[in-house]
Amino acid sequence: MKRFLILGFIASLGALGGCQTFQTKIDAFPNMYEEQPLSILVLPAINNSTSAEATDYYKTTIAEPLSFSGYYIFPIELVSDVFKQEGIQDTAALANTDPRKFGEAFGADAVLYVTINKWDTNYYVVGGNVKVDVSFLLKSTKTGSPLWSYSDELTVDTTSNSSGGGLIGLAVNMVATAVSTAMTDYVPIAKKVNYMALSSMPMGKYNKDFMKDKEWKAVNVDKEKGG
Amino acid sequence: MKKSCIILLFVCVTLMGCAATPMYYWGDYSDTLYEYKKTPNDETLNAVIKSLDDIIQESKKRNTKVPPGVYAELGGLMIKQGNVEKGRQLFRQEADLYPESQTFMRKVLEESTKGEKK
Repeated sequence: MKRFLILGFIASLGALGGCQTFQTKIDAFPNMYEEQPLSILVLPAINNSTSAEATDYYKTTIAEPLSFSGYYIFPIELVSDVFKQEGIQDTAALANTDPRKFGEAFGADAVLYVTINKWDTNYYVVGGNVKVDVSFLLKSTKTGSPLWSYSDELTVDTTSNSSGGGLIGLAVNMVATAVSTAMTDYVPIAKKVNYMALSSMPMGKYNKDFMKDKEWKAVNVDKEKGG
Repeated sequence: MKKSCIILLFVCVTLMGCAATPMYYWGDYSDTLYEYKKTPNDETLNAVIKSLDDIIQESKKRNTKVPPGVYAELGGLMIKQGNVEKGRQLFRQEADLYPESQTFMRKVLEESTKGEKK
């Protein structure tokens, strides 16, 4: 059933995104099946977007879907507190730390590096949109090498559809667009990006499909961005 | 395009159907945490604590495992609020339920005794 779902979801993504090539999960991420990591330490996201709060907001969205994929997720807030206590505030410094160190300090099997590339709102004369672009990289704490990766962007159009002609209509439209864009929360969009990303990730030990999803289709990590 | 919309609709509908028996109950934790990040104050913090409590109670009712990290997050908040013994007990519960958390739980348990001595 679930397999059907994920296939359907990926198929619909493909249909929306134009030409994409597909690989099976085992072909795309063979190291995941070899190492079978159980516990994942999610590091505070590296923020390359224009929004200062993106890292803080993003981290409220990731534990839940990762747990459903069958992994143990270290308590994200508590981990952040520990990093802060140890004076580590710089997410880039964390990203440059040898993954093996996190294995020793936390007992984690793998480390998830999240980079927020876009978390932006765009306005133009008669419309607007909200963009969330996140990339993921999971590394082994045993070998330090990559286990899984994914990158995706989602744009939600916030252009208002209110009608009305002439200059006044345009002005009304602009205000309406600004209001609806401001009200469009990033978090639900980030959750969708997470969902798309995690549908390509092999299931972990706590999921009933652990080691049974080898032949499932995963979106090719080298795919061109769908347009 | 129309076809893909139909497929998407189908996927959404079936997803809603599947949501009836999830392996974990997460309640509104993600939302309450987001509100707390947006507007950190006592009220939003209490909502986070209430949500974590609710997850533990509801998981027991549903006979599902308490999700990873929930005992530990609540433990951390309890210690911050001065309820160190309760916090330590929650850390031990996390370690019992998820043995892979033991290294980290040992670390935070040690930290919590340092706090007591101050």
